[in-house]
Formats: sequence, structure tokens, C-alpha cells
Amino acid sequence: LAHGEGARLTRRLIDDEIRSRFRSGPLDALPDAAHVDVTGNRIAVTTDSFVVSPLFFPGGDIGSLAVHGTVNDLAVSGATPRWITLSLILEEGLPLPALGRVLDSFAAAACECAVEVIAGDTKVVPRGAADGMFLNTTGIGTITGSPPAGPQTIESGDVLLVSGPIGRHGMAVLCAREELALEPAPRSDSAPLTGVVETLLRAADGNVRAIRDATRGGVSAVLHEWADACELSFRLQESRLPVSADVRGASELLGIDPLYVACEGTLVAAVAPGVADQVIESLCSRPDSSGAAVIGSATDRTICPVTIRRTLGREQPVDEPTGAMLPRIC
Amino acid sequence: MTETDLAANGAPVGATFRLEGLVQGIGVRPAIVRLASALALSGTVANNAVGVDIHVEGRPPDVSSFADRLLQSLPDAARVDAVHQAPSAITGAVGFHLLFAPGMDRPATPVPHDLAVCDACLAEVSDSADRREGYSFTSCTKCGPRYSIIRTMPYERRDTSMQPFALCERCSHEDVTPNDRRFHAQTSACGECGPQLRACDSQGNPQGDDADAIRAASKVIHSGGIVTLKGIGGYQLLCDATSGEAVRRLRNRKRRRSKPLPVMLEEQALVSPPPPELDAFNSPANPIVLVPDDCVPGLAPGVATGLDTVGIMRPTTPLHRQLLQQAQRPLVATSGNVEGEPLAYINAAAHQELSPVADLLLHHDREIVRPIDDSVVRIIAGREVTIRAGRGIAPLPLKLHCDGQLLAIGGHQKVALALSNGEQCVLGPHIGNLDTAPARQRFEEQTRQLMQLYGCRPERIVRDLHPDYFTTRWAAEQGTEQLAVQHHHAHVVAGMLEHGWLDRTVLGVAFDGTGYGTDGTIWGGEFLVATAGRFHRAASLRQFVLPGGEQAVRQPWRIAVALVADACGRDRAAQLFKAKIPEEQLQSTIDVAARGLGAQTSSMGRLFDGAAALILGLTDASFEGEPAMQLEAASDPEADGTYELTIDDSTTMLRIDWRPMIQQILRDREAGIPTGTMATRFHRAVATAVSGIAARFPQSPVVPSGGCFQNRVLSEMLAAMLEGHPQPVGWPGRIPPNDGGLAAGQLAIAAARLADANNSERPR
Ligand SMILES: [Fe+3]
Ligand SMILES: [Mg+2]
Ligand SMILES: [Zn+2]
Ligand SMILES: [Zn+2]
Repeated sequence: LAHGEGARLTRRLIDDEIRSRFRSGPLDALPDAAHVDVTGNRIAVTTDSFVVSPLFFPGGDIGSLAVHGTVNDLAVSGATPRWITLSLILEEGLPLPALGRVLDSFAAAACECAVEVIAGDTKVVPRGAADGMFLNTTGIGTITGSPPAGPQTIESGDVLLVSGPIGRHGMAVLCAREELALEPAPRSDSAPLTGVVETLLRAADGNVRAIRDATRGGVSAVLHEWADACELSFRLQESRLPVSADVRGASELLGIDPLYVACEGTLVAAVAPGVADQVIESLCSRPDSSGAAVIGSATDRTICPVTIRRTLGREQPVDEPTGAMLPRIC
Repeated sequence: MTETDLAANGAPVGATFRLEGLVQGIGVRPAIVRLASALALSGTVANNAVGVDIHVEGRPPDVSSFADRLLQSLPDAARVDAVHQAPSAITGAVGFHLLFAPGMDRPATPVPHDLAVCDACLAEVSDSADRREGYSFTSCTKCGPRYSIIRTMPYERRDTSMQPFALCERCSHEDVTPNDRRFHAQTSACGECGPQLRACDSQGNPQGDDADAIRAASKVIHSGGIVTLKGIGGYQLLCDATSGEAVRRLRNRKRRRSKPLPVMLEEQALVSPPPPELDAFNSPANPIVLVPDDCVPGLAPGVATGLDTVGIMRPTTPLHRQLLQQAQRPLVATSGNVEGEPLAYINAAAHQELSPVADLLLHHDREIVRPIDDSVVRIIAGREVTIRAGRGIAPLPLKLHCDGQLLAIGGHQKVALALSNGEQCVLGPHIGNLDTAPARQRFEEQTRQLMQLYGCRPERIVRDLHPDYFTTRWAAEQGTEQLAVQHHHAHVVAGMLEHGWLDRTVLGVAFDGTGYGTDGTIWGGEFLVATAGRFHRAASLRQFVLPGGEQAVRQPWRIAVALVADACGRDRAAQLFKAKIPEEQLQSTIDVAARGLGAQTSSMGRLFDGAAALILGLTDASFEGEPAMQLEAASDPEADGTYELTIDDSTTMLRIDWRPMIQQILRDREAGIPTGTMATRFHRAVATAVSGIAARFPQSPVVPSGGCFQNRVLSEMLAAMLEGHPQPVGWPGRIPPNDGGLAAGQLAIAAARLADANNSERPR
């Protein structure tokens, strides 16, 4: 991929590599501005940028990740994802086949998630100004049912659950980036959550307080944010946390708790205690949330917003690290 | 000629005296009443915010001899810093009276320490003719609880948890009899009027009171069971220290894998203890003293696994004495908590927490107002060094002047607070590690309590630089201005404070596990040219990776792998720990180290971990510092030779390169050199490096600080080497060299910076 050779090259790039992949929708190509019909009068809008190294990792790539990340932000807010835009920032020298694979993957994921790609933009920047490629998306969804009321409505005694094993995406990317030869290698959970959210909302019958896809900072980050919103504390139980064998192995090697590691197809939810069993039962009947589990509950506020009861019985704080996890043992 | 002399044999004269220093809670006022009464003087004595105020009046020669004999008539434990004497007017007082002091807002006088039972009280308890025979709470003006029962200063019975126990007729009589040992003893009590002992089983069923309770406890101990007992500062867990099974049971139930357990015993049970250790053992502070393990024969091996020292303590109270007498053997006496949780000290909560651990619980009905752990000391290079400042040592008065009110909150582990209330500065008792939710709650509770005791309303909170310490988070939430202090600077300044060197520029040697550096990496092998307010980093250990961060502290084999991979290449590293660590895990750890995944550190404590793993073949550590303790224990005092730690001075900051040493260790391993020799060579290499750096700063006093200087072998080797150097060396002493002393250093740094700021603001 070359940069700075004028408009002609860039246009050819766009025609050959990009437009051709997104001709399936009602729009013929990717215009600068899209016009869409909105039924109903509330829409949900989200925007996201994707920066991941390496671009391809076990379980996905930056293309599918961009679609899933965007779709999931809409889904957990209670919206039905409908449209997506794609903005590409490409580094000079990026191999065209890599770009092609990412775009194919983006298109396939969009198709799987039933979202239309409706607008786009492409920029090529000099070597070193980007790491391969950056993607930016905007997602638009429509709201039909009643979305969860939000974390501020969580009450003491409410139950926390996750829709599957945690920390898989972040661990997969980290291990791929550092070329750690692990057996089994962690695999990203990157996947759409639309169906899972639907099932969850239906099974809980209006008793879902909050849902969030546990991306950056993992389950811990979501719970810290919620704890501040509802002024309660959360207590987790280590024995109930679903962690896959690949993630557990990497976690021990790297000394990183999966609670802090990003998921891209796994959500956290807080539900009223009465519906927890039926919610888990419904989620477990779906293949994409068969590992759903109750992981803890909300309690009155204590000095620690989030704690975990370790297998040895200790009630340990789950701290929110400010940056890299630095040792505190002196 | 003075007025007094002029008036000799004439009209009565008056005089006032003010005593400052450690003069409360140890029988100073009763001693003064006795002296004044013996001289037939009238007047008063009272505690106040700064010490003791005395007014006497009477015949001039009597007033003079009062002045002459005043200091020598005080109890041994008194420490008078200043005496202010002045003539005063006559009030016409009749008799000499002890006045109760008004409550004080911000005390300037030291808070009295809890003192172990004295010989006179012990004699009464075992005297069948004495009315206190067998009474577990016997104490006098020279002994008994103080700090742990004080609600507010000054120290008066009505402001302690002894307040509910109204003196019986006979105790009242002693209380007002000037020549009695218990004249105005605030903790005075007897079986009729004082606190009572009560035993119950883990289901809460009563198992007898007083003597019956003690018998029940002895029975449990004899049968290998575990007893928990409410001591002075909190609950303790006791069991037969000679029974491997009892010790194992205690470890399992307390969830304490291999951390050494202290042992309580009588002096007679010791075999030729070294005199300095024996002095510490017998001191009223009653600390746990580390002694060579051959001083205590017959202990079960599980008491202190892999170490050559054991912590010993003499009986703290008559209750402990009676239990020891009935048991006829040393008893493990460790703090009453499950590992990681704070010390239990409230009856109901203790019952709940400790009934799964103990077979029998000994409660009493005297409230512990302020929980305080047992202290730990070790004799290093001839000095008594505090390893943990608890009962009998804390609150530790600091020789530091600060006009402002400050609260320093230490680090993350071994946390203790230090504060200035504008009148005095102190280092509070050990609180512990802040890794569990209950420990954090205890930290908050203790902070409130200590500020209340000293009337401290801090204008600033002084904290560590580490962004993720709990104390850092806590400080951010207090809405008080903060001052951040670098970890190792605080260690060094704590050592300067110990020696009154706050006005000097020193070469601080800060060796510890980990601390956050100003460059965002983890430090711990630092040479700082420091004043009380500032420092610059003069030298440091070559950095290495902790593969997997904190995981590497629990698994020191990882550190060894990282060091070897750096010093000798990955192939060599891949051959380590055969049969202990799976090949695959070894390879991926080498990758992790090569990738720098974990933290970059220049920590000496971690270098000890890595060396211990290489030399002793250790793979795991069950507590921080264990590998270093085992390496110290393994070292052979007779062994010769050293390893090479080279000093690289190609940059402005000197770097100590450990790579040649790692290569030499591997060579020694292959040559089959005994581990004891290798351990000694390692210690000698570290001491030599310190001495080498010190030689480059001949003008600066050397201040060794940080947890690594709890290591006696290292410290004593270094002390011998530094003897030939021109500069003085400020070894650790009362203020703990580990993170338990951090807050003292933080406080001194803050005081220095504030004084600087005030000076520069002043117009010229
Ligand atoms: Fe430290
Ligand atoms: Mg997002
Ligand atoms: Zn006594
Ligand atoms: Zn009495």
C-alpha cells in the first residue's frame, strides 16, 4: 500500500478493495453521507475506534472485532443494531492482502449481525503514523422494547452474572502480540451479543438492572463503574467465575487476573435475585452463552467497591489499577 | 544565694516543677506523692499535656531536698527529657494531693506503653498467702496494660476500659496508701473487683471461670489442641510448641503455611541465650525476640521451618505465666487471626472468627480499646532492631519537630501510621498488610482511633508515590491536601530520624522488595544521596524483569530464570529447575521475561529471591521475604570467597551489575560447592558492593534502610567492612527498617519540606 501518489491511486484503492465488498445493501456503495429510514422515534448511536496489534489473532481480526464491538455497544444498551459506518486509517506499506482479509471479515461479520454498512471513509497515512490500520465505526440501532434501567438502579442483593468465560479476548491478543507459544493458545471470544441480550431481557422479564459488554478493563472495570453509579459494593466468588483453560494458563504465566482482561463477546449483567435462575437457564440453552454463570451479588457499600472471595476463603479487594499492574509487595 | 537559702529555717516557701518526657502511666505521680509525704511537704501533682506538674510548699530545707531527690525517686521506666523548676507563691495547702488532669485536646506527652507483668506482681500471683494468688489480671504502677485500654489522654483510670471496675475496699485502701505498690495504680484490680476470666468451647458453652478456665485451657493444650486467649492487645492462639501435630493443626486452621510462629516460654527454658537477646526478652516491652534456634531445644520442627532462628517471648501477663506453668513446655503464641485478616480483639467478633480455629476460647471482660500486635525485635550488629513495632514499643515517640498537623500513612504492606499533632510526633503501631477487605477496614478504624487519641486534625496527608497502594486511594478520598513521598527516600529518612541526622546529607542505602520510583519503574536496590527534604539517585542495581509481576514474588524460580536468561542466555536458563518446573512453563517464562512482561525492577529484595532460588533450588515462596530468610539461614559463617557485583560507572548514575555474579553462582552450582558457601558468597558480594559505593562518598554518613537490612548476615558483614571507612553509619534501631517504618520517614520528609516552604516564603 502506497501513500501520497495522488487521488487516483486512492480512488482505485477504494473502488477495488472497499466498495466492491459492500455492494449488497440498499445503498450501492459507501457514500460520504447515508440516508436511512428510521422506524419508531428513538435510535441509539455509538461510535468506536479499533486499534489492535496484531491485526489478526486467534478467534478474529480487527475487522470482525470492529463490527462486534460496535454491535455489542448497541445491543447491551437495549437497541437493535441496524447500520454501521466504517472509517479506515491505513498505514503506508500495509500489504493489500491483509487489508482485503480485514475487509472481508468486516463484511462477513456485518452480514452475520444483520447490520448494513452505510457510509465510509479512507485515509492513508505515512509509515509510522499508524500501526498497520485503525478502524473507526459508528453504529446506529433502533429501540423497540424497554432497555435496562441502568446501573444506578442496582439494589443490594441483586445478582451478577456473566454470559460466558471471561478475559478471552484480551488474553488472546496479548499472547499473539508477544508471540507466546502457549498450548492451548487463548482464543478471543469476539462475537455479537445481540441474541444473548434478547434472551436475557426476555428471560428476566423486566428485572434486568444493567448490562454491559466487559471490554477494556474487563469485568472489574464494569463493576467499579457500576459500584460508583449505585453506591453499592459487589462481592464475587472465585469458584463461580467461568475461566477457560487457555485463559487460566496464560493468566498464571503472566500474573494477570482474568477479571481485568477484556472480553468482546461476553457480557456482565445485574438482575433481580428472583429471576437469576431462570435467566441462567435460558442463557445456558444458547450455544453462544452456554457458559453463563452467576458470579456474585451486590451488597451494601463497604470500604472496597469490589471484592472476591478466593478459594482459600479470603475476601480480597479487586482493585482498579491505574495503569500497568505494578507489584505492591515490598 | 537563692531566695530559698535566704529564707532557710524561716517562713514556708513554694516551688513548682514541670517534668517532660515519658512520665505518665508508669507510676511517676505516686512516686512524687511518696517523696513529698516523706518530707512532710504540702502541694499537688498532676498530669498535663506535656508531662507532670508539681507544686510543693513547706520548710525551705525540705523543699530543697525534694528538688535534690526528685529525679532519683522516679520509677526506672521514667524518661525525663526536661525539668523546669521555679519558685512559687504559697497557697496554704494542707497535705499532698494527686490531682486528676483535665482531658487534653492535643497531648504533648507520650502515650504510655503496655508493659509486661513485673516480678513483684508475679510473686504475688504464685504466693498462696497473697490475696491475688492466681489472679490473672494482677498489675501495679510498674506493669500492665496502658495504651491498649486508653480511651483518651491523659492516662487516668476513668478514661480507660478499667473504668467499669470499681475498686473493692481493699484495693481502694491500697490506692490511697502512698507506700503501697498500687498507690494510684490506674489498672489496680483483684479477684473481687477486677476483670474476670471465662472459658468457653467453640460452640460457646461455658467451660469454667478463673482457675477452672486455666485448667481447662491446659487440658486442651496437653491434648494437642488449640486455645485462643484474649491477651493485652488482642487475641492470641496458643498450642504446644513441642508437638508437631499441634503445630500442624494450628497452621492448617490459621491457614499459615510456613511463616515462622513465635513461642512463649520462661527464661529457664532457654539454653545459653546471648545476653543482648536476653535483655530484650526480659524488657518490660515484652517483644518477640529472634534468637538462634539452638537456644530453644525441643521445639517441633514446624515452628520455624527452614530457618535458624526462632521468635521467643516471655509471659506477658499472670494469665500467660499460669498457662506456661501448667503446660510445663514452650507454647506457640501467635496473633489471633486467620492469615490475612486483622487481629481479633472484640469478644463477640473474636468468638466468631476464632471458634473454627481454636478448641477453647479464653475471654475476659476488660475491653481492649486499641488493638495492638506483639512487637518483634532482632539483635543486629549489637543493636536491638525493631522488626515490628507493636505492644510495648508503639506508639513510638519521634525526635521530630513539626508545627503543623500531619498524618503519614505508610505504604501497602506492614502499614503503620505516623502523625504530628503540632505538639509531638509519633509512629503508631503496626496495622498490617492491606490486601484484604477486613484489613482495610481495620486500617480506617485505626487511623480514626490514632487521630482521636492525639487530637490530630491533619492539614496534610503524606503518602507513598505508588499509584495503586490502597493508602494512595484512601488519601485521595479524604479531601485533605496530599504530599507524595518516594518510597526509598522515606526509608532513608526514617534511618536519619533514628539517629537525629535530619540536618545532614547522607548516603542512604535503601534495599527492599519493591517501591515505586520517580521514573515509573519498581525500585528496591537504591543508593540515594539524601537530605530530609530531597534526594538524588546516586547508584542502583541493574534492572531485571519480574516475569508475571507479583506472581514472580510468589514463585521466585521465575526471577532466577529471568536473571539467568539475561546473564547467561536463554539456553542456560532453560536448563534450570529440571524436574521441578515443567519444560513448557520454563520456556514460556523465558519468553515472558525476554518480552519484559511484568515489571522492570532494580530491587535488591527480588535479587535475593532469585539468588535463593538458584542457590537453594527454591521454587515457591509462601510469604514475601521467605527466600531471603532461608538464604540467610543457609549461609555458612566459616565459608570464604565472594561473588562479583561490578560497579558500572559509564553513566552518571552508577549501576551495580549482577550478571557476573549470576554466572559465578551457576559455575559454583556445577562445581558442587555447598549451598552454605554459596549463600555466604552472595551475602558477601552484596556487602562488598555497598562498601564499594560508600567508599565513593567518604563525606556522607551511610544510612542502611529497607527490609533487606533485617538480614543479620548481610548487616554484620557490611558493618565489619564499613568499620574502616571514615564516615559514620546509621544502622536501624527503634524505627523498623522495613515498611513498618515508612510513615516515620514520610512524616520527617513532609516536615522538612513544609519548613523549607515556610522559610522561602518569609520576606527578606
Ligand atoms: Fe519498602
Ligand atoms: Mg465500545
Ligand atoms: Zn506489677
Ligand atoms: Zn479489688
